[in-house]
Amino acid sequence: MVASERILAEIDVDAVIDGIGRWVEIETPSRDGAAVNSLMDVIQAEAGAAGFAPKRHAGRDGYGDVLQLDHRPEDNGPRLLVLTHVDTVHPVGTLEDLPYKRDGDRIYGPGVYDMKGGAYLAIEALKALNAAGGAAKMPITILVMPDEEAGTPTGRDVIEAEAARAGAALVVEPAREGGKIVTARKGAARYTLKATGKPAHSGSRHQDGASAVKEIAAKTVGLEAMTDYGTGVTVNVGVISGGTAVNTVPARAEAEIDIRMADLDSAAAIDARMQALTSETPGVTLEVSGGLNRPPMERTEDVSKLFSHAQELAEDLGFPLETVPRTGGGSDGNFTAALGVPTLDGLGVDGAGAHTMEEHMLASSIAPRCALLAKLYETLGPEMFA
Amino acid sequence: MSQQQNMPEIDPAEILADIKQWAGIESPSKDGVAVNKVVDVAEAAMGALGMQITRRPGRDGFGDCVVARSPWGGDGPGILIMAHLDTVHPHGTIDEALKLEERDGYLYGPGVYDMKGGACLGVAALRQLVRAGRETPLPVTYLFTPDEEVGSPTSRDLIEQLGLANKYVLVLEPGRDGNKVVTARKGCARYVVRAHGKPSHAGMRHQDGVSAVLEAARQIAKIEALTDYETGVTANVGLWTGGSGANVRPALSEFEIDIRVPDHASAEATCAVIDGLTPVDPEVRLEIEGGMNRPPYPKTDVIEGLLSHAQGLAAEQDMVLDDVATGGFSDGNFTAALGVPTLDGLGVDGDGAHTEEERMLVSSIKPRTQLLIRLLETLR
Repeated sequence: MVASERILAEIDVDAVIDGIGRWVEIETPSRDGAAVNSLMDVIQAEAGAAGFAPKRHAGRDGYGDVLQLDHRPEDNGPRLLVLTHVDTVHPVGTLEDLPYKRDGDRIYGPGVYDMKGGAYLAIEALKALNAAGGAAKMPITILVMPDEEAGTPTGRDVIEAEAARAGAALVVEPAREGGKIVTARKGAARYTLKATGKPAHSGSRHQDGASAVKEIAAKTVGLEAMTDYGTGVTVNVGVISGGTAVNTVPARAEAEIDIRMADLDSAAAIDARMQALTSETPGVTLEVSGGLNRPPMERTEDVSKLFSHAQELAEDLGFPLETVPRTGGGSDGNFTAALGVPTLDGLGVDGAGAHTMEEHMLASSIAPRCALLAKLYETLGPEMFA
Repeated sequence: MSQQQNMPEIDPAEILADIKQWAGIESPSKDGVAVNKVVDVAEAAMGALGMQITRRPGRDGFGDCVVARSPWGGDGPGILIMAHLDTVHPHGTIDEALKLEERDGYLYGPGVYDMKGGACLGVAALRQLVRAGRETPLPVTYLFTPDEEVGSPTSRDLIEQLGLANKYVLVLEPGRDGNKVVTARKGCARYVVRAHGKPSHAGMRHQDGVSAVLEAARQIAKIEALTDYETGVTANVGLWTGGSGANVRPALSEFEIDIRVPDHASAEATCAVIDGLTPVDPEVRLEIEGGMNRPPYPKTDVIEGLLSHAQGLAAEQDMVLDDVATGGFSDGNFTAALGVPTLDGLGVDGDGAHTEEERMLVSSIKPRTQLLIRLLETLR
């Protein structure tokens, strides 16, 4: 194993900051596939120069391409899958108010923390490892995703295909709460409830109507009551719309619902309950659509092993590594974990303010995080989970 | 040499031609310029009969009001006739969805039934009196309004002022349910309720949020439960919105309520419930705006008497005249609430108000014009 100092010596933090800046200054909202692809072009060129074999999976539905970067493409052994995304939640123009700018240890910019910083480190870590004379134990595949912030509607297939030949997965989503990583995430389900009643003039013909709003209100109360912080189930009826005019009994109403759960058993129970929903308002029918969007990422024994191993590496680098308790937010790591691939998440840069105008990464997290990734590349092998 | 006064016959074809002309000018409430084109025609028709015209300019984008007073009958309180010239139909309805055409004894078209048909009956009744050289015992004031379909926001003051200045009010809103007139209408309250919660990420920070949508849902359940067909109270949450994204605890939710009440007591009781709503979740702030929009128009003894009188007049032409109470309101609510005896639904018969099936029964023109003439001739 290459000494930690040698890896750290190969990481030119100022150059990394400049490099991340080049990526941040290409704005990439998820739904603007052309914008996302212009950054994919830059990354493809840089990764190619670093020795990765790039491959593009053409985008669809207006999203950008998935960029697959294979290290040692000829190696048919189990691969280390590194997941990252370069789309952001920020619209084009955000840079005007949130320019790429350093203020002490903080470096601001749209997507700098979530997660162009982490994406950049994923490539930089292999360069540093190789420059220090080390080599990755498993061949590495980095998937640069174009649509994670939108729920990975078009890229999920690629992730799941690559998970099939992966020995482990590392997700360079941002670290949180002071450098902590993520070992368990809740699953997320999305449902749409549509109620269809019967319109009527609410003054002269109220009795002829059947209110879809009344039905959705009743369901909202019942569904929200499923929230149980003890078991980790949360229900959010997030968006409501219904009715056409105040003096018309509303014939249509709709609710969009986000449900999170800790494990696959409760996901199945919740789905069964949702699919079985029926109207309790006479004259109103109910239509349920949707389902599990991201399966829960449970902290399995293999994940615990992976985490302990990463902790030892971090200790050798001189910093303690902790994990946050199970988070309710989803990532692409949910997909690999659900397929049984030991997955460690939150390995990207430290910082705060994801999805806000305060988004920033910490310059001081670049070297240790990059070095930790390099050492994970160097040491992770399939035998760990045998 | 003895003189014999002409006794012209009511000519339904002439009145039908008027209705077609008036309905041919589309007049959605919120387009005051369009409404004024019908107001011009109404004003000209009244002027041609020698009525004294006052035209009050519109405001807030609505059309004008026209007050036409008979030259006879003196300055005292008399009979107020009311008709509105706006319709609920948007421009272009007449070109495609609801063409102006006669079919199977009906005239179809936007506003023919609600209520340009009735408005033209009022003109025809006065024209008939003028042609016959007959004056009525009481002075007659005919008020045309431009904004009834949106709640009469710019004409209510004039309606109330003229209502108080007269002994009787005859409203030419459509007849209904087979030639019936209207002797009672429910009152209407309108409210907007806003729930203010606290946003948070529904995945990561569910417990930090306070859902405005959940609060609204709980309140809606309470409000809808106020409906009681026995007592005639209905509550309708007609519009509901809330939230900004499926994965965000909703910080804001808003809904609008339409409440109908048969009398003052139920109006007060129901409004007290809405005004007194308190949040189930103490972390939510509720903002409640609104109140009674149209007072109830209950069937009082005086109105009962007015109906009996009209029924006697209807019997002269072998017409059976029944009455009905309705949940839909009209400008008659305003005058009835002031205690002015009000008879409503005296316009043309038909059905399909506010729909693309709106139509009036052509055969109702003559008997209903005759009834109106007799009311004008006999009310004292």
